[in-house]
Amino acid sequence: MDYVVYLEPSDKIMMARVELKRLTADVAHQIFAEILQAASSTQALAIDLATVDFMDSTAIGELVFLGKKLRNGGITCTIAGLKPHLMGLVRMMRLETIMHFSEDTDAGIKGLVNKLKIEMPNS
Amino acid sequence: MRQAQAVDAMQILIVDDDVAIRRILAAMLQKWDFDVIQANDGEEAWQLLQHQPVSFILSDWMMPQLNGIELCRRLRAAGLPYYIYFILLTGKDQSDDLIMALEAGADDFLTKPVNAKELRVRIKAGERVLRLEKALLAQNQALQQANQELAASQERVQRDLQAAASIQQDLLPSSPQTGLPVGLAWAFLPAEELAGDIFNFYPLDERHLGFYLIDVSGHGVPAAMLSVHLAKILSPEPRPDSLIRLPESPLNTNQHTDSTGFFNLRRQKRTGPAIRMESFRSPVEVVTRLNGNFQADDRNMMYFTMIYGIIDTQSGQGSLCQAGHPYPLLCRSDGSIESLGEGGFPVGLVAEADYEAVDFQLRPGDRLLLYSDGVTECVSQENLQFGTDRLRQSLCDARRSSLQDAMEQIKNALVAWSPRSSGKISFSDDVSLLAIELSAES
Repeated sequence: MDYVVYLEPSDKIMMARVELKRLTADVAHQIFAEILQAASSTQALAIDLATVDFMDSTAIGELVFLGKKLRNGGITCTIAGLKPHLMGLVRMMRLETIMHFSEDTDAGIKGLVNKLKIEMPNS
Repeated sequence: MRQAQAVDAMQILIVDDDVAIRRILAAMLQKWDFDVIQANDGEEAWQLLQHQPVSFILSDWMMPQLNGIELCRRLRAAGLPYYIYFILLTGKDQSDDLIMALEAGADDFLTKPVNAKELRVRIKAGERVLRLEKALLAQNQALQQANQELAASQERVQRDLQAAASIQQDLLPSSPQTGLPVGLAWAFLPAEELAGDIFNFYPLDERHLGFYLIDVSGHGVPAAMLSVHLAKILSPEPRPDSLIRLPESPLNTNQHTDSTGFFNLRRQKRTGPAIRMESFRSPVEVVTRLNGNFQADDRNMMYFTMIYGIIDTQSGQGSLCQAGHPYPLLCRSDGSIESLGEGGFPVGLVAEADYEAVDFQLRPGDRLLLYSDGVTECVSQENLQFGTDRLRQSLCDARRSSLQDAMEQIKNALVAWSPRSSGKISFSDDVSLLAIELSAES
């Protein structure tokens, strides 16, 4: 399955944009491992999943685990741009109570800036 | 050393009706450590080859009975299981002769009188070809052997999967009869031989029905093994590891109570012996305990969504715990449909998860539908999901049919929705449906 992960590393807020339609067990572990590795020296991370139409249960589990690892590493994370039906899934699993979700990357970055009281990237 | 060389020496068949030439060639070949056998013409060579496989032939062209070209054609047409390198010796030296010889299947062509050095290098070239051919043959045999072993292994795995699937099927309900005044119907369409979905229902006592539907993340053997294990520990039979029943003990006044007071209420109304009321755990406690026992980790990314619930079939009062599972649908007898619950953490993802009880009231004719996400996420040929709205509509449309028929109608709608692969229906995820209806006489 083809996917692209665009990474914009930064020591403050790193952005990761995942481009694929179906985030499933086949690729989820690898994608999140790449993001985790790239995010090792950042303060905060915004993961843009706006192109994703479908997430299987394993991918959801991997996302929750990524969130745990980032939290343990002191990295604040937001998941940006999830489509409404996937946000419905998130709410059904109450994941919005343990992870931060934002409407899009801009909103996610603003939220991270406010939370961490740091400068806006590229400002 | 010399002896060993003789044993390993390549055998060459010289075919020539001229005895003198045969002797000269034989002397040369033996000097070069080849093992030589001889035939007087093509026919004699053919007969000899029937019981003595030789992979190198030096043959004259012009011979009585069967000439060199015909011998070569016959050998190639015979489709022998090993290759014979064939050098044609002849006084002919025209290019047409060369073409004819090569077209007949000869590998090389030498004009007489034979130059010893030239013959030597051409035999060496032939030896290289035969060595490559032999190595290729050995590799092919090894591949064939490996293929056979792989096919046998695949057959064994397939048999094991079918046996495991059969065991898993045995854990699903076999009859809707529980002895309680409820109707029960279900549908199960696994995506593969082994499923990650499992569900069941059972009487907990003379008025309470316990039920669950579980969807283990992922597919295949690991998901199926976990689902089978869960079916065992959610079994109503008195077992030391049963999560459903409390260990046999005197009346336990500290039993967990749902926030709604469901179990307190039951205590006030109960008519049976107290031990019966105290013998099973509330849905929230069952799910909380499961979450304490199963936590996914990096090595084992497995968790599950589930609904476990209990219905008092006499009062119609029910309570369930929703752990990341799709919202159950309650179809009232007037056709209105309610969605129950507000979600909850899947089991195994969040160690510190708190779960909530979802209370509901079933009236006679009302139907409660539990389903896995394989139902709503069932994708059509046009890549459209079946979705909750379509499921609600199907449930509503089928409300006047018997529960069993209604289930069949929903199942048929899903089958019609799903794409066909090579004429077979294919689901990308397990599809499970469990419906409960309170009987009118309850």
